[in-house]
Amino acid sequence: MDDRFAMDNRLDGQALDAALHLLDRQVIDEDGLLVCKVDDLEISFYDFGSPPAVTRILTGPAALVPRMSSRTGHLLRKRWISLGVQYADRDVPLAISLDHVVHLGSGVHLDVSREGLLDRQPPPDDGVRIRRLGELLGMKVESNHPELRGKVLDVRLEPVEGRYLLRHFVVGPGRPGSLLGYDRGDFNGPWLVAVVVERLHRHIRLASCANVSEADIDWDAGVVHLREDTTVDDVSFD
Amino acid sequence: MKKLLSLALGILTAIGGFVDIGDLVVNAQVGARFDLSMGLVVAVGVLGICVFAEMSGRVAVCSKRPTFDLVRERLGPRMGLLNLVASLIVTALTFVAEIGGVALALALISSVNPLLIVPLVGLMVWLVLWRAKFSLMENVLGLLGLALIVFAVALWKLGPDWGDLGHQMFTAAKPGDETWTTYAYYAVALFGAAMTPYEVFFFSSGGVEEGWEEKDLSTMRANVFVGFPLGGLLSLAIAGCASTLFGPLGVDVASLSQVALPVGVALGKIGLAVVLVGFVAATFGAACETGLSTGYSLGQYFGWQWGKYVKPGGATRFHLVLVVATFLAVGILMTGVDPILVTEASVVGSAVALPLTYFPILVVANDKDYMGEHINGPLANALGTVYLVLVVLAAVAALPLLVITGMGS
Repeated sequence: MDDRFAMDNRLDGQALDAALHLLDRQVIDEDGLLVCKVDDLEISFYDFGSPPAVTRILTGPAALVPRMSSRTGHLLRKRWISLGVQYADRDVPLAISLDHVVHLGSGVHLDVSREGLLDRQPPPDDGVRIRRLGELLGMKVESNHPELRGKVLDVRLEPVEGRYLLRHFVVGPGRPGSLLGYDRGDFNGPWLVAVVVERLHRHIRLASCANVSEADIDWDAGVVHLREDTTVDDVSFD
Repeated sequence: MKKLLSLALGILTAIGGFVDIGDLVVNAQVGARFDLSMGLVVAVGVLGICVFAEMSGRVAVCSKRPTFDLVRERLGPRMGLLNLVASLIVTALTFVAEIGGVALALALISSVNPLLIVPLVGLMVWLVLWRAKFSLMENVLGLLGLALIVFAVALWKLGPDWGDLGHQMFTAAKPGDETWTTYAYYAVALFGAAMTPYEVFFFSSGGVEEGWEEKDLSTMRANVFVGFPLGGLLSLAIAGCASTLFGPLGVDVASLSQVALPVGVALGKIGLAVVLVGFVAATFGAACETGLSTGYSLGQYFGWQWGKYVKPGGATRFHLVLVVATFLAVGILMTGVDPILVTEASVVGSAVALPLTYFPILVVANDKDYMGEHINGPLANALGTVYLVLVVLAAVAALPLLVITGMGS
């Protein structure tokens, strides 16, 4: 089953949305065998200058279980840990470096074999702090800009030489159907569904986050503070 | 020539594989009680399964992603999990019903108590799922299922008043002794029997299993748009037979032997022998399809290697799920529960679970990113939207109707 060319490679494009185009997709190895799902993504925040970037695919129950629960995922996560308190790495998901991703289409294709591939997520280097995309999605947005209301629905990434830089937040009221893709404009749906979803998501906006540092995000309260110089754009691609 | 042969084979297996235990039981019940007044419901259901099977087949060809990959991608992990649980319950229930159906059919042949046959059937189903090649399984069981055409022959032999049957069908002439609520309940059940969700899991995953390419799209469409409606005619023939024989007597159909009885009356022993072969093939084929569907949906949600296109050793979790599902189904049947009752529950459950899988398919079939030039046209979208509304209505109405009518009694 070689579906490598079933779709154009998103990595060749200008931008991709992490939740819409990457999260929950099937991961496939070099022989076309299935590996896992993209259960979550690792985001690295750098202390010195570099913009934040998505750095690893996270997978396994330790990544998936917290996403099942409320935004912070604490309740189910605690239950999950309590089912195996003797394991030191119970809470550490399995990880695949994004360096191995060669094609991103309807699936995520790797350049390695699946055998012995998945290992625990390593601790961060000095000057780097790691978080998960699942924590960021659904966070409340605080901003003085009148058009930025609601929650973080997605983050827009820019693939640059094997790195996935975090460039924008997709911000809007958290209404159902934002994973359907109607709101990002690359879509011609059946009229009825498109009208309903477009109406629900008419307040959705793209906010630049090049200047966001980890300190602007209150991880415990679940709030992102966007600074004064945030620029606001239309959310559709090109 | 070879292409023509494979086209014919595909259409024949689509006809033979269309009918399963739900269609057999519900069509006979409805025929006996409502004559052919629900013929149009069958027609609407068959068109519906054509529309969605074609769409999911096309999505599988273009994106190489089967249904449950898309469910999780488009609805997210939480809604996707709810969907998985609901679909698994319905599919497992159908699996139980199909295995029970095979056992009942074999019991009719051998006069051995079906409870003794159930474990054997479970073992055989599992062996086929584990060992048989996907295409071999599909073709052999599909072709044997064609034996059910004997219902059409029997109906012709029984010599009903054709004008009368046509009139009942096109005017939806409900018999006076039935209420509209029971009519609605059986309409929903028929709809659920024609459009079971597992057919879509199976069809889209089967497309990936058989490695369909863009050039196979026309073959796939021929299978769906010729094979399924002809299979639907078999459903109508079953209802027609029951209506002609049982209608005047006021007898309710409550067992598989009663479903076969009109054929015996019309064609004698030979007919009975043929129809029993058809029963075994149709239910066994559907048992394999529903069994695989449990593994497909779990594997596709969690991202495990699934499918028979790799060796069992390469998809161990998938095959473990199949073993567990078969054990579970056999265990449930060994409690002595009536498979006909399970069948009735499974078709109503199907009606409830339908929108969960159809909605994501409809959405993705419109995504240029996945579909390229094979995106839904205006006709597919118009039909898709009409059916989306219909399946939502059926899903909402199913459980209240089940309670109000006391399962249609």
